Amino acid sequence: MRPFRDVPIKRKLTAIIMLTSSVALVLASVAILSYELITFRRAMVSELSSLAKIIGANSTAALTFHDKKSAEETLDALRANEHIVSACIYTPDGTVFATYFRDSATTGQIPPAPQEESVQFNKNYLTLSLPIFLNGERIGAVYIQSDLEEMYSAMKQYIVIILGVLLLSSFTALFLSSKLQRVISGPILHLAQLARRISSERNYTLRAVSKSNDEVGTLIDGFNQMLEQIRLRDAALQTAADELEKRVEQRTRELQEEINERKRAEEKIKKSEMLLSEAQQVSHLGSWEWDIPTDTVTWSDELYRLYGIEPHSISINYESFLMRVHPEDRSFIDETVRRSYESHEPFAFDHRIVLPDGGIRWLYGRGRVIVDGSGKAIRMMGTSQDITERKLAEENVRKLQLRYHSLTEAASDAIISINEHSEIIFANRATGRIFGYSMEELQGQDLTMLMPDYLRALHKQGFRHYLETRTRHLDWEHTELKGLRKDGLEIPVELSLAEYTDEGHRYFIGIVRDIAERKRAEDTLRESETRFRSVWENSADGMRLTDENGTIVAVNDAFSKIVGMESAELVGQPITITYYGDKDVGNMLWLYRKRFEERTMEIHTERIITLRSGKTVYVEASHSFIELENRKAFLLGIFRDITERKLAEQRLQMLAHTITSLNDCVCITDLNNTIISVNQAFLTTYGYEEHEIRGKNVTVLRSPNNPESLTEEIVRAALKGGWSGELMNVRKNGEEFPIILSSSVVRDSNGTPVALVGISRDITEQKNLQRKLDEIARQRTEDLVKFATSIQSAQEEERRRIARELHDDLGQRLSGMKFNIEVFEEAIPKTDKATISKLNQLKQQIDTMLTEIRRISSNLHPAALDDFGLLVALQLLCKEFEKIHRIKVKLHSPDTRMVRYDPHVEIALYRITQEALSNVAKHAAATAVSIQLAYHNNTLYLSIEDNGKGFDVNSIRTERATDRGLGLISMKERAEYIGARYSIESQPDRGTTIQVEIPL
Amino acid sequence: MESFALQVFSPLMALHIFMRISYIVIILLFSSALSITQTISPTEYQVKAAFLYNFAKFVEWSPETFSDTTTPIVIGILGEDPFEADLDTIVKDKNINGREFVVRRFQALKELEQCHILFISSSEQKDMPKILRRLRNSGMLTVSEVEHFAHIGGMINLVVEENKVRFEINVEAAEREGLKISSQLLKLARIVSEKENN
Repeated sequence: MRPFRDVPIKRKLTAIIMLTSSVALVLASVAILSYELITFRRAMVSELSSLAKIIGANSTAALTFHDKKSAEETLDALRANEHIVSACIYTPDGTVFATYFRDSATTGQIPPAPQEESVQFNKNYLTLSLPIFLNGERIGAVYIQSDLEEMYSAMKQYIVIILGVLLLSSFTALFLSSKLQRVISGPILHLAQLARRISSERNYTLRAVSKSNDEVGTLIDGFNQMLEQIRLRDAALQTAADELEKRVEQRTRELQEEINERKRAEEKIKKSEMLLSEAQQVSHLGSWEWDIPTDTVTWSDELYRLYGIEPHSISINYESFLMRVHPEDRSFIDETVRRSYESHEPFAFDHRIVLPDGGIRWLYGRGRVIVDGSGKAIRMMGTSQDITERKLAEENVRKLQLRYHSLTEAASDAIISINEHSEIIFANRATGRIFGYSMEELQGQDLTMLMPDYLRALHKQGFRHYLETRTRHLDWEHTELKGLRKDGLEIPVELSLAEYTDEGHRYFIGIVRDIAERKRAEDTLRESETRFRSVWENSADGMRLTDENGTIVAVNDAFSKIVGMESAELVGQPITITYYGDKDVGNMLWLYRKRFEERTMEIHTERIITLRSGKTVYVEASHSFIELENRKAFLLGIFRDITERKLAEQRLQMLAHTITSLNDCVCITDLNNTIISVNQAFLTTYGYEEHEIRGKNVTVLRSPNNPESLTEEIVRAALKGGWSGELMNVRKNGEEFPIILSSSVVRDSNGTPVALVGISRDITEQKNLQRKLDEIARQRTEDLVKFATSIQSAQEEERRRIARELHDDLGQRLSGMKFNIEVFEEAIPKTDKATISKLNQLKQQIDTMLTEIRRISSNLHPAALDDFGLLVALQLLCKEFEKIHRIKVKLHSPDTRMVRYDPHVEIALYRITQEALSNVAKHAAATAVSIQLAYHNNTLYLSIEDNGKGFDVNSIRTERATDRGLGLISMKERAEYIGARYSIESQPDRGTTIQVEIPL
Repeated sequence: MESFALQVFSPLMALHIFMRISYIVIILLFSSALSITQTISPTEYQVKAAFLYNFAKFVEWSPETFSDTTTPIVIGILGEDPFEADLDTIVKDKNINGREFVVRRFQALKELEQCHILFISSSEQKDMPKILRRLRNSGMLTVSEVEHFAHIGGMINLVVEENKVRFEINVEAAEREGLKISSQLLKLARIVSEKENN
């Protein structure tokens, strides 16, 4: 779209007129519409208000008499106005009295009774409230709501009308403006067209036609005048151009000539420049010019070359020049140039530059300042010359001087220079040292002051002779003679001489060496050689001297012995001769030579060598180079056969491994019980770290519960041959545990004890096991004893029963039988002797039977024991025994009271006695038995002693199955059953004593 | 121990007191509710008394019935007074256009003096034609609650219909006595005439 600016003037005018008239119309329409709206609203309010007033006036009686129906009828009159939406009458207290709704369906909200008269417009409704008065009293209120349909439809109509008017007036305006604008646009368009024509045809004779006298007319007149002026100027210009062309032609010709002239001059300059350049090139001289205000430096070709740069390949300024200067020279150059800039003085300096390839070049630069009229430096120009060669030469001279000086000063020999008059012109520091003079003392003195008297004349004569004839009176290369020190001492010196000429004068240099030291050294050497030889010959270590090729130069006897070859076989042979086989011989020699050359032979090594004889030996070798003065060197090898030591070490290592990997704890102590070494199992068992326990006394491992002397005892026993046993040890955490330890002594090769080794094992587990087993065994025994005693008890009861049965039942019956026989005897006539005799026999038999029954009964269970107690029962037993076995039994009891004890005790003691007596009868062959029964200190003692042949108690213990064995066991068990202590003592031919003690 | 007991019993005490207070509050609320209902529905005679007062607003008497502009409007009651104090209560402190109200009671016709509104009690029913005859040209607005009162020459008769008090007006009788009854009032009334009766 074109900007409005570029729109043709015709349209512009039309548009402006249209816009103006439209805006005016719209504004007028809006004003009218607004006014109408306001008026309409006011009319509506007034109408509604009068309606409400009428309603109110018509409702006073209805309100007064609360006639709702009448009020509603009054309201219903509103139906005549279709815009009333709802209406309502309120009583004075604000409650709704009567309502009206236009659409019965919409019983819309009735607002609470307003207190004041009010009018309210909202979007769709106009609501109005009025109070109702009667006789000045407010008796209620009326409320009316009207919709705004009427107003809106009226507004719509207005808008349609206004739009129509707008449209119509717009068209009219458009038509009028398009016709009328030509008055203004016509002449302008004409003018524009003419202007276009003039510019395209370049015809300035054309003129515009003016029709009016207004501004446009003036414009056209002005335009025509302008055209006239242009036409006149054009003509003048043409004339001037023609003139100018002629002058230009003239001038061009002149210029051409001038150019040719200049070309020739330039040619000349170029030639001279070339010459200059060549000159510069030859002299290695470059020139430069520095234009200070522009900071431009111009270099000659040669200067570029000097800087190692392709000529004119780069542009230079002061800064870039400085950057090419050697960093060390930069600041002083910058300073010099700046000073010169200030003072306008010319300058010159040597300096270094760095070439692009990093090389250094020395330049001699000079420059001067060019000043302008106001005295200001505007440029500098100057030259730079390559002086590298000169500088290098200077440097060389300086270095040579330095070297010469340091040489003479550092020389240990005296260096003395004399002139033709034999005057000392130079002497080095060593001279002072050797001869004892200071430099000043020597300077300018005659050389003879350094000679003993007897040589001085000789020197003067010989020197003069040489100066004249050039005949030498001594060997210049090497002469040994005497010198004189300041302190008057003569010293042996070695002298060499040289001559040189400088500027026509002849000078001599003598190098004097103090050989007193050497003389002494020679003596020492001789002495040391003797000593060396003695060492060489007597050493237990093998020695071998080899040269740089690996050829054996010498060996000593000990070496021959180690390798098992004679000296004659070895000398002159390569070192490999001693080795078995010849593989790697070349390699070995190559390595030797290389190391020899680098002097990197291992100084100290241990090697396994297989000898030519096939024997393998361990050799400890140490090497040292012997450097001789004539740059020759030998390698001295010292060898020692360490085969035995090595094997021992290996054995030891294996042993150490073994010990370490043992599961038992191993602890090695010295003879003072200090721990030297322990193995891993020890550390694990005792809970120590190795460093913690090493060096401690072994007693830290012992439990305090062990006997105090135990450790000493173990040492003693171990030294004698070994100790082994159980003891308590203690871990690091304090826990005690039993171990089984075997300790023995370690001896060195001489048999001297050096250490103790203890091998221990934690036997906590075994101990626990043992304890459990013991417990089980004890339990078993206890059970057995209980079982046995219960059997005994049952047996005893049974015996008692049988005894009673025998005695009471069978005995009574026999007694009865005997009585019956006696009755029967009475009845038999005395004469019948045979019968009586038979009966008597029968009676006797019955008596015997009764006696026997009583005896058996008593044996089974002595009734006396139950009836009268132990003592009586024992008395009866003893009497019975005496009667049967005819062995004297003496029963002794200090306590004759009939004390009764526990029936179990009584029967046990009775049975023990019975058993003991039975044993006596069966085995002892005794003649007397003594029984004692005593009671004191709450203990009952029983002892049975015989004087029989006795027996070996230990042997009896083992033969359990024998009769006697059973008897003894029976007694023991009975004693244990009643909690008694039982003992039996017997020795062959010493009788037997059985003792029982019962605590009661 | 004592304080412990107090601590235990005090919540119970509080509950007891609270219940007591609640009871009282409920009673009070209930009784006040009762009183409100009482005020809301007035008795028949309270309504009728209010009607008597309100008729004054819609009736215009001939000017000669008042000696000046502040002469009070006299409401007379002939016969037994059914309003008791209600009528006095209603008209007390009221005025219409600056006229106050005075209530006067007449036991018999002979005692009757000039009034503006005369309520003829139903106790005088049998003497009604006689009374109405006697009141001719008195300029009083006659009101009663007797059947056919308006038909026999009374002006306003209060009747109870559908539990509401309504009234009949004999416009001719009123116009005869020079009274102008507002059309508003007439709109609410049932208009009757003496002719209808026969």
